[in-house]
Amino acid sequence: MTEQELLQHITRRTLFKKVGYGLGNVALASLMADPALGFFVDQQKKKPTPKPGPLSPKAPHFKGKAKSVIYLFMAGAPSQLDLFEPKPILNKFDGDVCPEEYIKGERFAFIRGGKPKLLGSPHAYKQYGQSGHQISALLPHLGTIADDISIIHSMKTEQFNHAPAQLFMNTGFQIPGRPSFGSWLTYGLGTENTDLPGFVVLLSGISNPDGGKSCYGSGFLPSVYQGVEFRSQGEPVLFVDNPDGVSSEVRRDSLDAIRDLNTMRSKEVLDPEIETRIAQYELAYRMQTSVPDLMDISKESEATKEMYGIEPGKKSFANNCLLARRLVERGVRCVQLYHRGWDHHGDSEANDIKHGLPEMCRQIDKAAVALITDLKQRGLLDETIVVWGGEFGRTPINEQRNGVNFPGRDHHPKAYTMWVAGGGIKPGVSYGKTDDIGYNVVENPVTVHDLNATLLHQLGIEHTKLTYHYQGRDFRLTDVFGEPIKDLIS
Amino acid sequence: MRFSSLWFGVGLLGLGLAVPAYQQTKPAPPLNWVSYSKDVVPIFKAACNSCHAGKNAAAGLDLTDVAALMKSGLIKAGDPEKSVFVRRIKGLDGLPQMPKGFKPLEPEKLALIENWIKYGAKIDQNGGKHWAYIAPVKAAIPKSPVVWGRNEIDAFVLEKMLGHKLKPSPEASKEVLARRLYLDLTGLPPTVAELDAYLNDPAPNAYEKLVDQLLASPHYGERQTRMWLDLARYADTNGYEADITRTAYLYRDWVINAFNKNMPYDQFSIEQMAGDMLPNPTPDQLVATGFHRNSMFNQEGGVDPAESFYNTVIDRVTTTSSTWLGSTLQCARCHDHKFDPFSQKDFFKLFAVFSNVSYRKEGDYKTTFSEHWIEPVLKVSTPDAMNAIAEAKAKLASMEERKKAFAAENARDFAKWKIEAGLTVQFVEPKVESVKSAGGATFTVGTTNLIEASGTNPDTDEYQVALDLPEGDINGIRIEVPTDPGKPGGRSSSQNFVLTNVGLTVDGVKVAFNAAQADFVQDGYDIKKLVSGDRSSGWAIYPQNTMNHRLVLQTAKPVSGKKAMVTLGFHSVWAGHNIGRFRVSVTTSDYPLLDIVRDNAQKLATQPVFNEDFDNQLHNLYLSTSVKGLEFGVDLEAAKREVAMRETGLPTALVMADKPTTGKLTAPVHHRGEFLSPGELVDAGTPDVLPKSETGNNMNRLELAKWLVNGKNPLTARVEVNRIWEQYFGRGIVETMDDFGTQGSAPVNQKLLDYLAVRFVEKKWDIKAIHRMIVTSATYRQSSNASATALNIDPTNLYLARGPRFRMEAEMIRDTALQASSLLNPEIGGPSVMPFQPKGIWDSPYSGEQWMEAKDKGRYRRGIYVFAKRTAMYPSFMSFDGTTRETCTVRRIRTNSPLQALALLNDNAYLEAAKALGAKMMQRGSLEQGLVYGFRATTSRKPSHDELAVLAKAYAQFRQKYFAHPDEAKKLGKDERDAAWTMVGNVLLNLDETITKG
Repeated sequence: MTEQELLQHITRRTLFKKVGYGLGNVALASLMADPALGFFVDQQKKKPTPKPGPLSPKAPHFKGKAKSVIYLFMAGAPSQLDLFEPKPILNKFDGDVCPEEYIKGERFAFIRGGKPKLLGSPHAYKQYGQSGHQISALLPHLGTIADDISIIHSMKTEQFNHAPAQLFMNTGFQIPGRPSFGSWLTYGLGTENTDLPGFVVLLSGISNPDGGKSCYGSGFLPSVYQGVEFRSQGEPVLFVDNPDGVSSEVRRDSLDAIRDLNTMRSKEVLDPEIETRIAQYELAYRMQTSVPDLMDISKESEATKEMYGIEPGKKSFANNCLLARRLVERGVRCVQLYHRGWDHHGDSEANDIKHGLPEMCRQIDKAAVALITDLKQRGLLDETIVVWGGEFGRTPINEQRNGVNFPGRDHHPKAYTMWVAGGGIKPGVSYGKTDDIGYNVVENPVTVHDLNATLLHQLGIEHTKLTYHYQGRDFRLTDVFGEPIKDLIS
Repeated sequence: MRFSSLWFGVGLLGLGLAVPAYQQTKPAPPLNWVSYSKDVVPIFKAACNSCHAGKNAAAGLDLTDVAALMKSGLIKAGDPEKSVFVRRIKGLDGLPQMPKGFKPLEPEKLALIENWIKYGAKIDQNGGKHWAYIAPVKAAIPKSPVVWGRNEIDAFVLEKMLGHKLKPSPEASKEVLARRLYLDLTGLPPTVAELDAYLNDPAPNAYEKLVDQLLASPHYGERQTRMWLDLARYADTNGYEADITRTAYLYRDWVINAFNKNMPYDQFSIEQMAGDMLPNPTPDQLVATGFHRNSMFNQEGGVDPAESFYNTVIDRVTTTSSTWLGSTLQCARCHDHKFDPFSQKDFFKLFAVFSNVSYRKEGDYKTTFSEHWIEPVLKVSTPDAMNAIAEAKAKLASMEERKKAFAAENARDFAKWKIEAGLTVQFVEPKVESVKSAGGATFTVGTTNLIEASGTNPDTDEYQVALDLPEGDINGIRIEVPTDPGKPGGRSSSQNFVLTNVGLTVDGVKVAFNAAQADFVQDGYDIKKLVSGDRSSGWAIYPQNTMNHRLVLQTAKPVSGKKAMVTLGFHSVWAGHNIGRFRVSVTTSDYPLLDIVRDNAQKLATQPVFNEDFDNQLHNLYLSTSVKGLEFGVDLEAAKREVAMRETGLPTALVMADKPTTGKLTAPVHHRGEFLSPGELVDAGTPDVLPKSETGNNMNRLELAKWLVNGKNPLTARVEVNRIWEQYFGRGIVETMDDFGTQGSAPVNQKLLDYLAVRFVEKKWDIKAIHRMIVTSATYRQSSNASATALNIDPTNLYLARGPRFRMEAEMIRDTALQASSLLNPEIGGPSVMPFQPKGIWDSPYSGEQWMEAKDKGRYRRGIYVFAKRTAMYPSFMSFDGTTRETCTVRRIRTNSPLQALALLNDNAYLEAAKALGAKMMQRGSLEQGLVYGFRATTSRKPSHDELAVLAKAYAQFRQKYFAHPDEAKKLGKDERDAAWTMVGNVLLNLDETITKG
């Protein structure tokens, strides 16, 4: 046999035998375990085993309080002035022309020229609990847990159209193509339960978010980090169900055959990717069980179902809230709910703040509160951050598009409200202030980057250090901005 | 240290086994051989530049500016001891040790810097300029004591291999090479027949013949286009919120053609960048400019069009720099580039080049809520299309001629109709007995027979209205939808509705309609479907949501009776689009449809003197509102539709055009890159660090395009050959294909890269020549099986001592399944297609566009033709790292995830392929022949005995289970055997080897 042939025929087994003789076992073990080689060698079986998957849990920068996030995204932008911002002065001057100094040189999405009029809120407020949060009568349930949440009154964004603003909230940039919040989380921390996707998206409301799938896409991060939509109709995760006529026994047989053939190939070509693929097929098989198990809420108590107000078989926010709890309970890192329909311009009666807004509140109030309560009862609230809010606020000005006379508000990026709870965030805090009519922030402004930096901080991530090198530079969720809000971090 | 000695040990042992001839180690370089650019700069990059680089460098020390460093006084050439630079690194003089806050520099690295200073702190001939900004030169072909290789590529690769104590792998087997070549050059695996033809070709140059054959295949262009479409961010929709469909496929087809014709890369680039600015551009050259029309376009209400346009121009600058310069110029949008020598001015000089685009305005931002700047669209006429239009027009003309004669032939009916047209059509409102909702809505019936719905508003609904009919022959029914302030006609939040079906029974007998008319119908809806009973469309009213509307349906025959039941169905994809207020009435008039046109009809019918125009209008009305007229009208309308279809059916292309200009193009530098902060004006131009344009003309798109491919620019050719290289080996010679700057990875083999780049330009940018050179190299033809030694020394195959092996890209996986199962429809070009995709993927606000799954062979087209909707890309492509085409993507990351497994196992598109493959295998006669065929169709090689055994066992298991559960088998296939074979097909399509190019 020539040396050429010898090389050709050399197998991993014989190589390591020879190496083993020469070096002794201790040295050999340390060599084999070197991750620099890109894989681990199991000494017993003498074949490469897969690398830790891209979603395997990773250590945070420091010990964080929270493990997961549930982000209740109110797409369409709820009116802060009718829900969280009582403004007696705005009510007093309801119908008067908005003072020039506010609107000079402003760009609005729909208000055009003329002399737009101020619009007070037709809804009453009530003060709650120790925190003294003032919450609209439209959200009676939220009042009952007022002391569990902290309200940020001074959010600001840079975008005033839905799609760019939703992208900005979710990815830190207004043009599609950057990784979303949940993608950064799973990229940075992996996930605790590899039998389920690490970042799950649940949709309800009148349509999908305006920013489309880019709101929860992975941008330039590898696509394993993109948000996986759990669907309310058909199979919950795309392609998770076996086709008709393929029983789980038949599926198992076929997976065994695939595994056996892939293993033979792996021994032949020694490509660690094959071992990874074998592992991913097994994971896929486990997902086929874990996903239906997750979706099966029949074992939930009647009291729980009643508390959320679930509507079986429907695309509903309440169902999604219950699922969100089941997901974080199983170690899913990030769950994002989108509920679209808050765009109350007042261009029709159904879409004004007297009729449309109360209906939207009714759809979410009970369930969102049930989620907090349920997490708390199960001791999960301490390690789960719940975030509620939209992509911008709404104007203190009545839009009156085409001269219609229904009370409605245009898009307003300069001041809006969000609330956060759990995950070690100080409860009961009322943070930031706006002016008399809620037009501008006057105290403690919070940018989208600040909010994201705060959320990351609670998860043990230093937001300036969670980076990905792409097209020549290190990108991060918070771009080159953002400071965690100290007053909210306990 | 312990580790490195171990490593050394293994290395020696490996060498001892395999290649004793290469044992000599490279002599260590003498101390005075320290190179500034190769030794010192990398240390700066790794340890210093994170603080000491760019304009805002710490302490004002910018280590990327070598001239400044030399002037700074920190370095005393010849005397490291006295150089502050060294003293700070050592932490002397009581000052903090550099790099501050990080680990101290390793002693070897410090020694290098000290030696560099000691021997004069010389800057090498390139002055420390980053390699990528220096023009490539052809290095001498390396000589080696080892005889190996087929062309120059191999000499360069071998040099690297030997330098890393590696040796070439043997040539891969003939079948492996055939598969590799087919996949690389056409994107499709060989069919079993193609494979056999090649294996049975005894010619010594069989391989070269195959190369020629595949380079000439039209599928070659498709394969190259796949990669180019990622750069061109090609999609079939506009992106953002509405994400409405655009017609852009002619551009895609242009790219395929250009590759197939082997258009030289310089021409290929110029036509795409500025085909419109060439003298007398051909339609093809205009279509080519679709490259930059692929930018996204935000049509959301309330968007500032100037800002939207600003984003478009930025996208074009970024894409140009990524595609041709491999540079990250977008970093310089907001500030001077931190690491590379691009200033913010450079960015806006390029911005100016693209800022002169012509567009028309649609809407008015100041007074309404939407204004969009629409760039030119070109109708592209082909001779065939023009002939078809002429033919259809001739037919229509003869029908128009017949029209008058038709009225004369039906003089009696026409006369009767004219009398009725002068009157109001009498509708009566029968008593409403009951109204029911299938979805649980409740109704009230008002005094004027107005029916109002309330309570729950289900996603879909069906109303049943029971009526007491008046006496006489009923010829039509009318549905009125009145609106009053605050009381919309539709129940959805937009106040629109979609009526998808209307039924009528009289005394229990179903009554057919023959015509429908409404006073207003939403664009894209067809009320004729209410007559045919097809629920796919119907009656909707956007944007006239707040106005009164009415719909009249004419019964096919007069009908009389006592009780009637009218059914109104709402079964569209639009949830809750049910009618909220309506009134039902009936008429005994012979011409019920006149109600819809009554004002116009009365005016015309009562006109005392008919002039030709009135006459004509009257005829038209007669045709559209009388039974006899309708019969004729159907044909007439069909003829009109034919003409319209042929005319609008002319495909359009998105093209670029510049506004006329005499002077220099300029643009303001925007502070921090923000739209609202324009500042100082700069002239259009190219980045300062690169050689200037030599034409002396004012810079514009055409000049820029010519400059990109003038052969002097150090980047363009390298960037393109690097991309081509990556297609074959899975990794560019510069791994960061998108970044040739200082932050990118250094070329693994710069001599090779530069050789290929220079040759590319010398050979007049001949793209196929580069492909041919690569695939005929010995490097390419190596076996990809890793030896254990090679795997240890070079786990990721940087030095190419073995052939490439990596998972296919998304589209190739689809194409492979289609080819292996013989389902593939090999048609080339044309509108994008919609193969199977699960329901509910498309659901964008403000757009009713739906995925219309192709039921014919269109569903088996190749991946590049699959309709690309930016906000909802084809899901199985996304699982396999496809791009969203929102922005230019140079490099796809390859992941390995369980969602990929689920897609291949369960996606109906792959299941169909499994069925077809199963059927093919079953036809082979014996189990063994079937299995061998299937294995070869998917992996292109014969299975080993063991592999065959696994497959046979699997087949037996499937068969046994399906015979035990025939009902299950029926769900999957024709019978038990068919189902079992389908599952074997499913196994084969899921093998790692099937989706891997190895």
